[in-house]
Amino acid sequence: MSETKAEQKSAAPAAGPAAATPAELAPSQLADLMAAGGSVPPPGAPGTRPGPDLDAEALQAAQRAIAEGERALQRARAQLGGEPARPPGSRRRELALRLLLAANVLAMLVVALLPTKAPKPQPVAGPAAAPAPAAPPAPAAPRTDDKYVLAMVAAGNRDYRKAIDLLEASLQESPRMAPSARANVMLALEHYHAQLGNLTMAQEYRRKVQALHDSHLLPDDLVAMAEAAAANGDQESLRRVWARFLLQQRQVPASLYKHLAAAYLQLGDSYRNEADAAAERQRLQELSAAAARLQETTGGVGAVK
Amino acid sequence: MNAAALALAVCLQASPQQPEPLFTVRAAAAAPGAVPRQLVAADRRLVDCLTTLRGLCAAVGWSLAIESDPLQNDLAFQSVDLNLADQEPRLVAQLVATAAGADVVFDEAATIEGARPTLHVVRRPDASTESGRQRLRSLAGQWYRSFLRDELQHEPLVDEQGVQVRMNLGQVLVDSGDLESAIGFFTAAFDRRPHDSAAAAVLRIAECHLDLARGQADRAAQLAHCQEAERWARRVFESMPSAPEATPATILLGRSLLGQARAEPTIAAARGRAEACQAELRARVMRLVDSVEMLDVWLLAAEAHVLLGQPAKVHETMLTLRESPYFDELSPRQFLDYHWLLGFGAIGVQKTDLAMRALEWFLIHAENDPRRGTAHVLLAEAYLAERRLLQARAASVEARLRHLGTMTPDWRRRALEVWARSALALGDRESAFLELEQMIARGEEPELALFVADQMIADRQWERAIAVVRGLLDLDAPAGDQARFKKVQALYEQASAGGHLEDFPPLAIALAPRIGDPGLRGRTATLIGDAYARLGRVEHAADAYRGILR
Repeated sequence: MSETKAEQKSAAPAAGPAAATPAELAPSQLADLMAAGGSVPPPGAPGTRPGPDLDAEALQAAQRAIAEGERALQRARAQLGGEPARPPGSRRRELALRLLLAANVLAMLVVALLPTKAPKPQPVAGPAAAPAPAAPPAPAAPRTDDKYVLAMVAAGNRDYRKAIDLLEASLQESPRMAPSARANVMLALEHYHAQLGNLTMAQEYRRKVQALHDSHLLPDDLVAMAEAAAANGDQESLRRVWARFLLQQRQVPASLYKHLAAAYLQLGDSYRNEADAAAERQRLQELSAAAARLQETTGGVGAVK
Repeated sequence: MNAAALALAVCLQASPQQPEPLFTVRAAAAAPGAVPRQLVAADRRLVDCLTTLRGLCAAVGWSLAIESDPLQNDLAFQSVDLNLADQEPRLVAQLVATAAGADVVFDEAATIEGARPTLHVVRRPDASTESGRQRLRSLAGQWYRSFLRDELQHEPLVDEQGVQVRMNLGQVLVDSGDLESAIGFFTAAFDRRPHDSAAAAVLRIAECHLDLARGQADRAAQLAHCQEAERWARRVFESMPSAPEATPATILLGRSLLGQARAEPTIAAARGRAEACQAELRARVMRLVDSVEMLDVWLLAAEAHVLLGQPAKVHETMLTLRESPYFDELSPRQFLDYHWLLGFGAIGVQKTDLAMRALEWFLIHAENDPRRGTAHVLLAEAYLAERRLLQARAASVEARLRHLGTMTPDWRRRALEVWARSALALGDRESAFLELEQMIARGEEPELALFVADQMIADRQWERAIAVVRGLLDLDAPAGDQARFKKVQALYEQASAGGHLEDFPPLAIALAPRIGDPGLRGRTATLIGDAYARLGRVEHAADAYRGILR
């Protein structure tokens, strides 16, 4: 990046006096030049950004260099077109321009090859058939040791046996795998066994997935599910989840014991709110029906004064 | 053959053992004489809800009844993990049903020997029906009670939300009609003061007592509940006089005093309570001036005037209410009160047209109001005064046939009088007299005899009038005095019309000493004096006019 700036600074005088007069420079360019030539403000000084975005600066510098080169080329062409007789030194100028263009292209390549600050890749939770995100910022490089990903790759190559082996090894290596991830692995196993015609195993994994969904949820999972249901206003799910939680209250760890009280409270609130909301709807319906009936039968008798 | 049977028996004996029961049951220690509680424990994974409920019922000796096959399939499809100990079996059944999206209803065993309780598994309650909402409230109450149980009392959440949950639970119970239990929870919330809901709890308790009083048929019970309501309302003034709840407490105080007035057995005591209500309202009305709560104060004051028998003041109060800037903000209940009171007051000041319109409005809008009977009576009186005889007859018949049983004695007498007057006014005298005589002979309405006697005397049916009051002649009470005087009056009219006035003085003189009321006794002496005067016995007449009867 510093190389690019040096090229930019050296390229400006090379464009000749006609192109390099300060009056012709755009204010932004002036500001850039002054900033480049001035002292660097101390960190934390007023008006300074908290941290330099090196990638963005490099990109901007490359774009400026390209624009500058193009303008210089246009001016050169105009001079060539408008003046039949080449002034002395035009051959050297053309060479300089060509060099400038080559340097710009080189700068662009350097910027493109710079490492980007991509987020750390998350383990893929969905099955292989899951659609890719619509517009990923930068595709993360897959972990070569992730058995799930390798299984997806193998399945993509129609090597279902290898995919099954990898997934089963993954299950054995991670006995504390999160229930949602475990369910995904088992779903994939069901699918690959079915692809191989091994329907018995496919059904076995399907049953295991169903069982996992139905029952085998640890108190932590149930608390998280209840919180999600409460956040979404899904009262029916909230009740079911808290009921499951309370049925296994002996294995609730001390850290989650407070949720026992919350479970009872939210169950009570849930039923009460449903009854109250329905009663209010009913009352409003009856009021409007009575008003309509009275209007119909009496023509709307007003209060006696 | 025998060998085959033996082999079968051996096979059966050698069959695998029954699976271990899902639930274990133990009896919890109970108070002496009480039935020991059953507590269950379980530790099993991946059990479907149907199996769980069957196992629970088998363990605790219940019968299981599932509403439908689809519901049974749903229960079989849903699985749960069980890891619990020392839990109430009913609570566990409810939790399993809730986990499967269902509900359970427990049916206690019949009293016959060998009968078992039944656990009914049903679909979750439907909130669109009143019974469904009641069930939802019942479930809410059940979970709130679990929240407040002793085991969780040291939880910070229980400490933080305990008062609000008690208030919610109380309201759920009020909505379910269980007012006695609701009072218990509101009281528990109040006892945990200081907190922001203390005054609200007091108001709820007072309202519950007033509602309980309204549902009582026994006057003593009504009086007791109204007194409790008064006591709780006064707590707001004593401990939280500057709280915003002081305003509704004033209204509740007025309502409780009027409730006591209606429950009092004697008119004098009722009047005393009504006057006390007026005094309380006067003392506390200053802080309510220019507030919407004044609407309630005026209505209460007018009701106190009704109890004091002051229809003109009722009318005046309703005129004041009508001028209020908040008049259009009257709630439906307050509008009903206003129209009934306006009708009552307008009758009292002979504004019968206004009374008629107000009471017609009331009857159109008050579908199930307990005052419909009295409104029909008042409306009949208004129609009669307006000479709209057919309408008066219809209103009085409605009051007599449909509402007589709900009225107080005073209103009942008034209803029968207007019924009789409307019949007589329509010219249907003979049948009306006959029916009235039968009612009096049956002893249903003794005081109605006085009214009927008046009507018969006016109709020149003196013998019938004397016969009608015969049952009251020996009564040592104001009604007895009235009856004796009416007999004197009938005898005088009869003697005058028959031209044998000389028979009248001895009969009247025999009755006169038994008339205790000085006014009536004076009028009796005047009639005797008139008779003597018309007979030309001036000295006797003069003595009679002076009160000397001979």
